[in-house]
Amino acid sequence: MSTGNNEKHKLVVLAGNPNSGKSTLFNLLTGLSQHIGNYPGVTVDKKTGSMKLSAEQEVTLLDLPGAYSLYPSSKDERVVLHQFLSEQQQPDLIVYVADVSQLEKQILFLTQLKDLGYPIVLALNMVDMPGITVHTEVLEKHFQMPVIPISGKTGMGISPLKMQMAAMLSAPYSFREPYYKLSKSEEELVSHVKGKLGVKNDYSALLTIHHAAWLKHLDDDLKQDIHNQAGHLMFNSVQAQINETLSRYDQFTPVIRKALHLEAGGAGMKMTDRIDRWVMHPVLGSLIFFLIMLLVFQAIFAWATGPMDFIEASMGQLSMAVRSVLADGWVTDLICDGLLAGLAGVIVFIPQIAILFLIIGILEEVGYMARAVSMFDVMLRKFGLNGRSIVALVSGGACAIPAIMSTRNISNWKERLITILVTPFISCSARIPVYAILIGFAVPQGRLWGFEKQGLALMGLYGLGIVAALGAAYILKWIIKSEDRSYLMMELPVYRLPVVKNLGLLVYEKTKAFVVGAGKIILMISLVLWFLASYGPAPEAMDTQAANMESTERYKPEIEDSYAGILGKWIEPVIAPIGFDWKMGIAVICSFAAREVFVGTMATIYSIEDDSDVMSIRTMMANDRNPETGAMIYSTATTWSLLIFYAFAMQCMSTLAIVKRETKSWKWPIIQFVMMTLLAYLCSLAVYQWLS
Amino acid sequence: MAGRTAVELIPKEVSQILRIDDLVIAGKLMSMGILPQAQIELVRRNAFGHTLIFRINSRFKIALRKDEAKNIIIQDK
Repeated sequence: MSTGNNEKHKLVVLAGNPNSGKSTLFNLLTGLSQHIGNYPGVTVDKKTGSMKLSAEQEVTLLDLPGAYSLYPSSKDERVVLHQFLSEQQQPDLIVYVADVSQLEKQILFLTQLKDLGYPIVLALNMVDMPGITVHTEVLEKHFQMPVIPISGKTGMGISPLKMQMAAMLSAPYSFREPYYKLSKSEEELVSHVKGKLGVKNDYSALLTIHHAAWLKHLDDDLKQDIHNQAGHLMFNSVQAQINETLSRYDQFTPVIRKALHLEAGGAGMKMTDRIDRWVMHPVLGSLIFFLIMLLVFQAIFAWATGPMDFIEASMGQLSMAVRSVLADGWVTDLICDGLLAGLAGVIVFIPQIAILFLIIGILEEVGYMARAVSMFDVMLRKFGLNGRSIVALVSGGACAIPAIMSTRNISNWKERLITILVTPFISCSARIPVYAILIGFAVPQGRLWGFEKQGLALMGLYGLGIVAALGAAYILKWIIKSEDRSYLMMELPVYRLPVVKNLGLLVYEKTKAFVVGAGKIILMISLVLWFLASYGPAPEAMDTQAANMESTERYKPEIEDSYAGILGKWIEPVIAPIGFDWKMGIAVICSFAAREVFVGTMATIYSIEDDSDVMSIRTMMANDRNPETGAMIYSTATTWSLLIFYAFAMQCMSTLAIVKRETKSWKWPIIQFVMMTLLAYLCSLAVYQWLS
Repeated sequence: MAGRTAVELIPKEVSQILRIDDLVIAGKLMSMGILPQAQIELVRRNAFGHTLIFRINSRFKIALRKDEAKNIIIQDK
């Protein structure tokens, strides 16, 4: 009975429909022990965590993406099916989460999982909503499984659920009778294929037959065999799926109606209708959407500047403190100009990224995103996109990486691909610091119609990103060909107050992913850059001296003569027409790894050049003048040219890596890179020539 | 056999689904809880009638494209 600690952890899988409150339960059960990969090299498909069921038993919990059935229509749902059919670690227990107010339509998937032969506990979520009476014993008797009422919001029922899980994991489970009885032709096909597949379960074999064409773990001979046999028996897969679905519904619908009593308009439905009258209104609805977006940008400027100034100031002080403690030398330089400058460049983004993810998270959690999807579907389809693309386009305002991953629920490949290709045009949070520092040079402070002028300029740049994204999508629509059908079919869930814990975890996870993932790149580049900017090819006479280990005096070149300077000067002919000098050239080159490197790069270059360390990078850049003409380096023309370049250019290695993974080829990230960077160069050229 | 489709509902009108014509669409709608016999109400038409919001069995709302909804055959008045 007891489980040894050295034993491999048992696997518990959380399954359920979208909007069932599955993720809330997952957060409740795992807390901060969960692991979500967001960056290249880490599997993103899976959210896993560990939880303690008792003092000695710890299990692994896997949160599957929400699915309506085992007949998938999107990539997310395919992941779910794959989990059960392929040879991955099979679940020892399934916790099926269902929203009790939508029970009737969330049970189909449950009965399918039951037929795969897994032990299941049914967690009825949101039983604390007003207007609901449920008789769990009716459900327990019919489905032959334990039913636990829970509330993800208040945490009610979590301990009984854990006890039930522990009990079921230690008891043997025997699969008795399938819920759905196979039809004659299904039986024949299954008996033909079962042996070759090496599976014992009939329903698992049936699902494999239905999905053979795209299942990765089957070899081609077997696929052909299944195809031939199905043709021979005149097996119509789609019709069979419908018959099966109908048969299941016929069995459980009367039971659910007996077990559940729901007051009309209860469970928040009345309130939802009232809100929707405004939010879904054809005219008011769009207005509300744009007001929300305006609020987002004002919030970023208003709320994030304080913490950002604080971080900048503290890092500056830390750097000074380090200098005063350590002796002068290359180690101190490395720490202050390389490491600390780079680190500051990473953590200074935290406030903005956190705010953006928080707001997007709230919009998702309350159920607003689904409305936005349905409202923008018609418009976005004109650009070759899908209503669901709005989620990616809005999330792209935070970071293109999670945005691109969110396209997995777009089932049409062409719409999904176009969404992936154009999303990086949307100004992500990494561009904000670049914009913030440059807008200061190009736009004077002050108000226009009660709005901050600089805030409006920022909004304008975001607008430019949206125009570019839609324009590119419109062109791509005519280039990319596809025969796939496109769907909307968007469920509009009941409005709910967001669960604070969910939001907290979301912001924490996403920010951490950024700091760890992008931070590594930024820090690395800062160090490389520090080296390139601090050292240079020594003049011949110095060679012997440098080789002499006794010499304490290090040869320190002017930044112009350093490796970085040489590199910057080398590309100057290319960037001169768009108004960039060699320092910007270095920053632009480094920014191809990640845009946010720009400020850090500038900080490194200027702080190496000027050892005072007291002035902020902003002041140093503003004071920079052309040594020959005395003209300001960051003139209006140059600054706008830089802004436009950063708005359009594809400067993010992580995004390219994600695009490669999501499209499974290097073709699309390369096309994306060339398309965006070329557009950036041409637009910067036009802007610079026009303004100067 | 043509019948009245869900697209022809007028806002606030309640009817019953008889069948869903297109097999692929039928499969998807059914897994989302939209089946023959279900009660269907048109909540509103958006975007010049290209997007329709339905309420099913007085329980949940769903947004469908006109092209999708025209496969849902409903009872005559």
